[in-house]
Amino acid sequence: MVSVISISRADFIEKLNDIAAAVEEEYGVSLRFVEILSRRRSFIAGCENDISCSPPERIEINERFGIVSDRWNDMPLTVQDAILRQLAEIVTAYEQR
Amino acid sequence: MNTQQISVKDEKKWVGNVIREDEVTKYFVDGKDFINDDEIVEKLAKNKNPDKAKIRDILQKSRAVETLSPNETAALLNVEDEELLEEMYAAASEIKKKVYDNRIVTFAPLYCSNYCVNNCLYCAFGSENKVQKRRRLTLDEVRNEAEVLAGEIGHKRLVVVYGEHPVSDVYFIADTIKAIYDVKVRTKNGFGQIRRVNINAAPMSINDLTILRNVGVGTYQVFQETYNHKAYAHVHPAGTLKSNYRWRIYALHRALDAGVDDVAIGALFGLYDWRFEVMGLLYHAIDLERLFGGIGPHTVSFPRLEPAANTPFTNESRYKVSDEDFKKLVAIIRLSIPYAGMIITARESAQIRREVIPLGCTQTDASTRIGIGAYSDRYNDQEAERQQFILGDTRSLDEVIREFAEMGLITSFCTAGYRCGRTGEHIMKLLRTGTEARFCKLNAVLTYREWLDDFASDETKKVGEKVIRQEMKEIKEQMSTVYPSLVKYYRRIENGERDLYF
Repeated sequence: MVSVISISRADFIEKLNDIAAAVEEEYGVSLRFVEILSRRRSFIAGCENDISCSPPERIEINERFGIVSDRWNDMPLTVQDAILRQLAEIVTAYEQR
Repeated sequence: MNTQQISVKDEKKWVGNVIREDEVTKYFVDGKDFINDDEIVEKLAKNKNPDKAKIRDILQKSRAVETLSPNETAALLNVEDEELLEEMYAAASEIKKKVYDNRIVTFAPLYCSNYCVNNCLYCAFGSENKVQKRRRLTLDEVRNEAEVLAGEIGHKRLVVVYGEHPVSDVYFIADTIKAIYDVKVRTKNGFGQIRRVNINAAPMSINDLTILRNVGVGTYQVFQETYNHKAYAHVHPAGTLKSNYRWRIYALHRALDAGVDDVAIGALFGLYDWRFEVMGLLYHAIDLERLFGGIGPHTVSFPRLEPAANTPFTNESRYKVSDEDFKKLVAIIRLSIPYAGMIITARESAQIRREVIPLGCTQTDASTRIGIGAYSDRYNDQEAERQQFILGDTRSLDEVIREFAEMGLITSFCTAGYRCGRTGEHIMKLLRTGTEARFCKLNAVLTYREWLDDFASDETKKVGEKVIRQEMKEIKEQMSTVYPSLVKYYRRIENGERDLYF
């Protein structure tokens, strides 16, 4: 079994912000990380400049956390997969708290 | 808990367990809450006869969507000069358009229970009011109400209201939210659903608020009623739950701590001096912003005291607000907390709503019924014994939307923001920068199209089409890169798809 190091809420948010900034810089795609609460998607971290006003794409990381993006599908599938894998690890570490 | 199962002893026990002192005192500064009555009175006195240049500087700050300071709001509250007042009204209208565009969102109140452990002097639900017919809806009855609202009238957003009582505790509230979200009914050309459930309920503990957060509550409203400590003590009899001013004033702080990141403040105008109440609302917004990373109230409500069954206080209060002062206070709230939504309800007459909406209001209700079970019972006359107060405007949603269209306003049923992460600190930034107005404009067109196709009378549809054409033209000019996506969504909605949004 792979051991997972738990992270604090502040570290969780910082890591998500780092990923959002990197993706925005590399691909020009904005990512907002949200907590899924029934119909509600509550903002946690990520890009805050929604100036593109594109229709939102909603991607689930797991049952509890997700992404809202303006142009997620514009990124290559391999990149999408890599981002989701990285996010899954971060979410797992956070949920281990 | 079933209504028949509550004994007086159980009710007392429940009341005794509600307040958590540690969830009040943790927010104090130097052992005090954030409303200093003397300081407010002093600021109102100190800022009398403000000069024109100072007021114009304050208006510029509001135009930049910055929260005003208490001294600045106090200066606005002292303006008597007609020319300056007109400038303030114009600025309020301009700011509303900058932050929220040309739209007005509609919703309906849904009263689920009028049992209450309190005995407030101004409210017909008071426990000692024996003429009030008590009822708590079952979950099936709640669904029936939602089916009428979503399937026959066409509402997409509710404010669900509950008295403070063990029969309408947090578990009941959570169950009603889930029941409403589950409703899906056929309409003429698509389907109807309630997409956002906001609630107006009593102050709760952080644990209870977490339960509401987890079922996806929309905005959590708690109105302080009056911010003046003495007036508060006068209208909320000692010994009742609601008499605890501080438990109530920190209700929204606890909500934000629980992760409910859209909260709404309000005051019941007519309980104390209206200028003081506007200052109280501002101090409330400032304290929330200070403690929660800039997150202030999502909306501000400013109901006026209205007559209520067997509730003489509502006619006797010496602080009742005149129509002229009401217009002023609406504009000053818009200028003071410029990013916040502002809700004017059907308490007010149609005439007053017409006059006040252009001063900065963003939301209103229509086809309003406030009796318990009133939508599915289909009664149209007001029945004081099953209502909290008497409504001033009972016009249908169709009539109200037609009137808005004639005023050049587009009615929006948008509920997109909270379903795609535009909440909390994020929505605050979008509002302050005017970015949210772009989403408002796009989503207003899409939801208006849905409503016109599913629910509008021929007469309303005719004027509504004109509004849509104008809005589409503006979007094409102002947001040319998004326009093609809007047109695609618009066509899909014309073909019967529903709930597409930006």
